[in-house]
Amino acid sequence: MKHQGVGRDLQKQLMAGWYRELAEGEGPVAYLFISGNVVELLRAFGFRVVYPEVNALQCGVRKVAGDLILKAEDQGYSSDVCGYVKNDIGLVASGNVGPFGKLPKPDLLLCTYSGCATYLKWFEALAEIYRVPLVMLDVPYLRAEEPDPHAVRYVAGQLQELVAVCERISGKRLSRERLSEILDRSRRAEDLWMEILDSCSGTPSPFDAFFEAVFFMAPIYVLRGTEDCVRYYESALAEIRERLEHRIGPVEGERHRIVLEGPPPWPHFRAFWDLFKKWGVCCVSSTYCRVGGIWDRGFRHDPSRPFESIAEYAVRCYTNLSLESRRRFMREQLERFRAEALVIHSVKSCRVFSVGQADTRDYFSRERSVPTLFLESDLADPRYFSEAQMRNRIDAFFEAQEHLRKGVPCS
Amino acid sequence: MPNPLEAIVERCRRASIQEDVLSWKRTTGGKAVGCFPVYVPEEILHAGEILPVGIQGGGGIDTDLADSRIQSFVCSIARSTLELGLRRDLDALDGMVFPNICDVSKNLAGVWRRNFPDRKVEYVHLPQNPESAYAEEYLRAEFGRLRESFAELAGRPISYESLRESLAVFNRNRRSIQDLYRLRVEKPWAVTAAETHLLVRAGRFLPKEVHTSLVEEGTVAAEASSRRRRDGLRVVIEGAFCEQPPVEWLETLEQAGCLIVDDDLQIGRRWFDRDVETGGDPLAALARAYLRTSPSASIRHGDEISRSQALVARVRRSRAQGVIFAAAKFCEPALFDYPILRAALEREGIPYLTFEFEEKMSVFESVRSQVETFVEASLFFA
Repeated sequence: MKHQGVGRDLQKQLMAGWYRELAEGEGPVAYLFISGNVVELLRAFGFRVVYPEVNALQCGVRKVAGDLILKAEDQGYSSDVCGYVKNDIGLVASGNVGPFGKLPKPDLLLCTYSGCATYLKWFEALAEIYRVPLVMLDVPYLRAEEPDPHAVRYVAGQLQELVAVCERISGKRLSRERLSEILDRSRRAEDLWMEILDSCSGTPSPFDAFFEAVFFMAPIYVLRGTEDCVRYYESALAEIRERLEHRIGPVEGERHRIVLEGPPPWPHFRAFWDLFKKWGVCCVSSTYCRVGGIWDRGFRHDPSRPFESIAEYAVRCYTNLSLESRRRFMREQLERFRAEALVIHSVKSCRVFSVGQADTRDYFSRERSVPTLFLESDLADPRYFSEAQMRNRIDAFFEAQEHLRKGVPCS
Repeated sequence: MPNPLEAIVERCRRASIQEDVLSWKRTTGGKAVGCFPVYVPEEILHAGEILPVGIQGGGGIDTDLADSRIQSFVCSIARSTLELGLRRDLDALDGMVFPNICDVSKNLAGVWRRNFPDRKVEYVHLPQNPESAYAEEYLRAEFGRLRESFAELAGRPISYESLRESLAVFNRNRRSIQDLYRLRVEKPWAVTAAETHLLVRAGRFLPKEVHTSLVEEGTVAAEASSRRRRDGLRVVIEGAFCEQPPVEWLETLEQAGCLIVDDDLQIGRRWFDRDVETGGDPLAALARAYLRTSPSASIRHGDEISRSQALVARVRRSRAQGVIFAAAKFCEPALFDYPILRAALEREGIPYLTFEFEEKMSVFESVRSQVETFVEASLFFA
């Protein structure tokens, strides 16, 4: 087999290259969020793009988040607010140097308010520090299944206004041709990424749509619109096709197929994964790997409708969906990927995910008879992860699942 | 005979859903809709002859039922409001409106829809980009959508004429509260912060017209009162714009030597500091008022001056000598602003004291001793 390991290795190289480009490259710098972002537009002006969320998760994985969070708490940040924000504030206080190198200062803070209200507070804090323009792209919450026409007009109007800001900061006029090329590359990468996610309908699933996807998804969120991104997904898809051909999956002997809702506990990612591996669990779908955008329902960035498709991506991203819409999405995923259970990882930091999750558990277990496991920790703050407690709950849940499967009633 | 102000305050203290909302519904046969803080365009409900009811949590109640639906790291008002709903204590409300003040409120709309399927649940997205030239048209359409939705609930159309009349009724109500606050700046001993809080709070349950009269009468009575001038540290309270601290907490602050000359308690009840235009298109007028004349608040983005500049200006305007930070536990918007505001006060040399409160708080001794120390340090060692 010649493609195995490509997805992870190439991802690491690309991320390292991207951070190098941030540190050494030229051109104006924009800070941007992941969910429903409008990076294609920024790329058309040649912005280098920094994603504070990605920096925060990198700090989590590399186990420096705890100290950075404490630095922010020393400045008066409460122990009860989002750990990503505190990680970032701590990072700024450390000269903006992380395990990935040094980050450039922003020329533009572009807050895409797609669901997460903490985004606003985060960039307001950075605007105080950097004293650079903060542009708010206000994306109305998708309260019903379809966006209101006036909400779409509002977002589209703001995109036009954003173009003027980008032109001023970058000193370049918007080239429609360039934007079309970027959108076309986004679309191609999205097609390939969806093919990877769709492969999880196979048995065994060749791919874990949570534990592996968090690595495989990095290029679609960080490098979307670039040729590197398209090439990455071509290579990654080759790896997945090879796995399908040889009937190999991410866990040996797949025993349980689950859908996972919520973000990972980054500082304890390995330990968390191991707790599931032990039971032969494969996540055949997850909401987190769609946290930036949802392509399952046919959406693609579209060079023939540049602004409309950029707006649509922003409005329909996962965190901007109403609770009912999120539940419908989880239901679709449970059915489509023939999952036996839903696992909800509720993180304190992220209220946009977590508020309503307990009600969602109640909905799936009581109204839909879907076995549902509810776990709590955090995505950034290492203090909230209790491995023993996690293990107890995961073991008890899958033990019960296996009893049920054997037809043995469990007490 | 009790002093007239105290009698009015006592009347306000008793205002409740069980007493006032139910009796209003019995008398008028009308509908009532709960409005989650901080700001909801209640005028539109009023124009449909629907009673807007301000939601402010459940005080110190246990949240056994709600705990199975909302995690413990979420603010108390979200949990206690859901608890009241699940206990059927909010059955007088035919609907609820949740604004986009924070992630909790947004998602609570969905929790509400599932748990109370027979009630109308509305979500209103207030613009966070007021600088956009497209914000007004958007908000006007959003208010138009609410108008249709509430007309459906009321079973009758909501005319522009009735909307204009409602704007005038609310203008007068807000003016009465602003007058009361102005009196506090001039003569803080004449009416305490706790009394003001109770007077304003009653507007959650009472019809606006009735409430306006109470506040106007209360202000007149306070102006005429012969209470002795009291000295103390003039302070501004910042951070209590959504969930409200217990009244006893406010009383403790005052007893410990503070003269609270301004605050952001229940700021949604006096959201605009000037009248909304009552001519022309009433929905457009309300949208413009929201975009151009809303107060500085942690849950809103896009003011020309920053939150810290606004706080310092508020301190100067009310001739305050210090700030009491009072954030509800787990309230992200307030807690995120705190380090930034605190740094601004330090730059300006304005003393401050910091609290996190919860609805459930019942022991105030440590609050008292902290405030006493703060007052002494600020007055005597400044």
